[in-house]
Amino acid sequence: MSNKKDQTASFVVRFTQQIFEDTQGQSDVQWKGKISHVQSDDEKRFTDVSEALNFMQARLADMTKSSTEHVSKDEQKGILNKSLGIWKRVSKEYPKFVMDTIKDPKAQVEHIQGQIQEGLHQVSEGISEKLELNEWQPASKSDYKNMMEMMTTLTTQVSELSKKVDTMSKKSKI
Amino acid sequence: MATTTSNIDDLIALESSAQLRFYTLGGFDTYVVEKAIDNKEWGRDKTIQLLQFMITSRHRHGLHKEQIIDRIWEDVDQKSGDRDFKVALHGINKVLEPNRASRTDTKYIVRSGLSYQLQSDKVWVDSSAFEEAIILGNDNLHKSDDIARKAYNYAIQLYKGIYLPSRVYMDWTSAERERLQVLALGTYIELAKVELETNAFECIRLCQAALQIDHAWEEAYTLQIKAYLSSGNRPQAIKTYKTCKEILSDEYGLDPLPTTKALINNI
Repeated sequence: MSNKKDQTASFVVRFTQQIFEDTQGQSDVQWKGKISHVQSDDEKRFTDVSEALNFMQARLADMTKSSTEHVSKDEQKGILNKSLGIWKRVSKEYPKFVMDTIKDPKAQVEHIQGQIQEGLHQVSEGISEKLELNEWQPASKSDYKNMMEMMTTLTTQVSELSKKVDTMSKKSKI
Repeated sequence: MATTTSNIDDLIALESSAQLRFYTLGGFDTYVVEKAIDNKEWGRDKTIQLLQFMITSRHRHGLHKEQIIDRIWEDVDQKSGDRDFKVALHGINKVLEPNRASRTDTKYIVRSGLSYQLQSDKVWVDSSAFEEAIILGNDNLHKSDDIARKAYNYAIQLYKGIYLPSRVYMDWTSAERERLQVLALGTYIELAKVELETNAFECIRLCQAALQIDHAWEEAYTLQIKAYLSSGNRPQAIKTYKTCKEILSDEYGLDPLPTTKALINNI
């Protein structure tokens, strides 16, 4: 039986924004990202969020593989397929999530915020502060792009919180 | 100490006057009054882990004992966790307050019910001083560049490396490590900008230090190119541009920004 440490993957994601003037003198924005896997210190730089998701997927698959080394190859394959199921929801939900965000970013952030706060409440860490959403201005196209990237980070946080809540629920059942 | 100072000299003076000092950047050291604590004095590594966790969480309200155990010793059962916690806490208090009479209240790690907290107003932590120095630098930037320069330099002097490097694989340190590293990068860049006009060589040195933290930080290359150009070293400016182009291509598949390219096109 692998220990809790072997069953945990933590990621740190850094986004760097650079606003600049292109050759025609028009303002533009460039995003660069870096994702690090805490437990192995591996890192990947990216300009497309899907690269970060692929990096996470690969690390999680590695974790499942190393936890199932003792089982038969067929069984390992089955577990791995189930393990990768976590990403099915991402691929299904992500486009809808992005479209909803573009349509109504404020409502979407409120929704995510609600999920995060619910998660935080359940793990008894009421440490979050609500964003002052009423102060928001209508978003521009570049804001939408930024928002989409922010949403991805929030999705990761919600997923991590859900994991924590599941772990705590399992514990309390025991 | 957690006291906010408006004067950089006062902030620097706090370091030497503090009764208890923790150095967390680039290593881990503790000073009780003037005495450096040898690692052996802590006894077990779990004692150091608990202390480092209390330092990392010092700005949060008291943490419940079980939360602390769950965060730092994930795999232990409740009984062993309770025992480890008790032993580690005793070890910390023994080192930090060697002359405390038994059954008297502790000064630094305070218990409230089952919650524990490090009294951040009674200790000096390098990462807090680092952040305060940056705030002072930012406040004085463009108003009093000498003060800004002194504050940023003090911050850089404190940033001896990443936060708690011996705990790099423990996720409870990751957020703080990332936050402080980004602050350090920003500080190197801001100070390099201040130095660009008056001291090109210092600007170059600062940019190179920033690139040691993150070798794909384009702004550090841009400033370095400007500094080489202002000191008349065109070959080195071109060489720096080529390095920048190569690194950005390798790491992100990107070209340098048009503003970076323009620096070289203008030569």
